[in-house]
Amino acid sequence: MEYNPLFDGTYHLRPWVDSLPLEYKYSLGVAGKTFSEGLRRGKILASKCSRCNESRIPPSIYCVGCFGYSDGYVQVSETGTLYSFASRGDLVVAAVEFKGVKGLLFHRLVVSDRNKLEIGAPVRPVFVQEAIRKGDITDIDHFELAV
Amino acid sequence: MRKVAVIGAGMTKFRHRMLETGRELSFEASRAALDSARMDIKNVDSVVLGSAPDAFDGLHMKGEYLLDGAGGSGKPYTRVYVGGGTGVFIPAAAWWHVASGVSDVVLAVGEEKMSPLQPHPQYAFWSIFDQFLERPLGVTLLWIFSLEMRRYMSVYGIKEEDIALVAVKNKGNAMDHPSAQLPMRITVDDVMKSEPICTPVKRLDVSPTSDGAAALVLASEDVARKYTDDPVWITGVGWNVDTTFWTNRDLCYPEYVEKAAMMAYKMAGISNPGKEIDFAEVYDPFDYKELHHMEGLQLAKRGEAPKMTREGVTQRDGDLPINPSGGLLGVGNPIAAAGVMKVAELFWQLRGEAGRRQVKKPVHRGLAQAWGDLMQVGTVVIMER
Ligand SMILES: [Zn+2]
Repeated sequence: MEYNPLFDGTYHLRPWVDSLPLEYKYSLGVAGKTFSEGLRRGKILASKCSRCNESRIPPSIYCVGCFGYSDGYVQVSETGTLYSFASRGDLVVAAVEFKGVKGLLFHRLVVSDRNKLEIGAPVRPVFVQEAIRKGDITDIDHFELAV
Repeated sequence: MRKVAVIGAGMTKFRHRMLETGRELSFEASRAALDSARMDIKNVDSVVLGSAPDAFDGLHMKGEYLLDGAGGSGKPYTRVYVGGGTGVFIPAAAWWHVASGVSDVVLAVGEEKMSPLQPHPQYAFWSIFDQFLERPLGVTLLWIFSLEMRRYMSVYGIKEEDIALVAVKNKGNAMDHPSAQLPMRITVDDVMKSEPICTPVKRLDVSPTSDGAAALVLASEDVARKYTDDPVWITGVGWNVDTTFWTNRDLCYPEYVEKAAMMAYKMAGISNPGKEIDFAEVYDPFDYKELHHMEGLQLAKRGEAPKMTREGVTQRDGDLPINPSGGLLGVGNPIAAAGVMKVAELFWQLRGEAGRRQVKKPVHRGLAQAWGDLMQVGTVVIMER
């Protein structure tokens, strides 16, 4: 700036405001559709690869390990463990791990006493009532401590 | 492969909001780098530019938009992009232009203008999250970094106060940087008492959003020796990228940084980085990330970077100075420009031109690293004199 011969010695920003309305309609995809249907039935589904003997969430049509097609879906265990958590005001968010499954699930966590929270604690999903489920991630209302 | 030198570097000031447009910022940094190399645009064979999400500017084809400000008109021109890792990827991409023999002189430019997006640049990051699994929950980057910071603290038993020492050091180092946005003399207590953003992350743990640009001139050996008696060589480059599913990796250890570093170390013939790297510019958008990245780079054992920090090893007068520039926490974080600023700091430190920022011990070999996107990118450049 100081070396710029065109600099007029003042530094007033001259703003110009613009707005672009954009909206998107995404496809859930092949594995995403199955995951969505699972949520509607109150289940968290992982994809599995029997060549690698691995399951993963979120489910995927391909196995990241061997880069072949996944060959099915399995339901993760009813209870997971708390991998990490963070908080802002009343809100607590968490990454949850399920036994034998690669990948974490990110969601809200509702606890009565935040001081009791610790990494490794057992947690479980609380689904909204079946009648109002939409097949999206908010069909899980939150996770809670499973103790 | 041909030897590749860096023969010039320049940058603008980093500020929250700059009067200059992105093109003007790119020009000012490019002009300064060319002047420092005693070159003109006619000497430049090709241009590599990096800039992070188009969403900050609301301009599609941002690379093309910035082209003429970066000196790319009518030249072989490439925009590279690997999120926050872009800044250190720019000189890596410029390096392969020269190493391969495609170009003798390359202008490498990093530009970022985060300020246009309203009400805050952070909103651009909404669109990086998975539209089905994450966006409906209102997730922000700060939340997932808080999850990562807590995991890191928990696994190794690290105290928030030890992490805060990084912010104290880097903001203090930035007092000596003429382009710095947030130079500050602060204490651990100031960091601990700063506004909680998403516990455990607090205001002073985080780098600011910024506008700015930085540029380098890279040249082949024969050209470099014509223009300078004192070239600095790029002896290693490395990059590595993991899935955007940030949930599918160890949040405690950045394996993609390790892999990028190993690629660069192999090229540079380095087998013991902790001993053979004299100083490093490690990516520090958050204070805990400097520690995390030192471990990924094998400059510290897992979980031991906080101890080295506490013992003063990473200070400018320590055995392994880390972020003598002041880093992103102190100089600012115009994403792609911040990474180039780190490589420019290697250039200035290795030539002994860093002024009051000059590290105490003699330095012959430095490393710069950047990281980004959804905690998935590692980029590394090693330079020697
Ligand atoms: Zn497989």
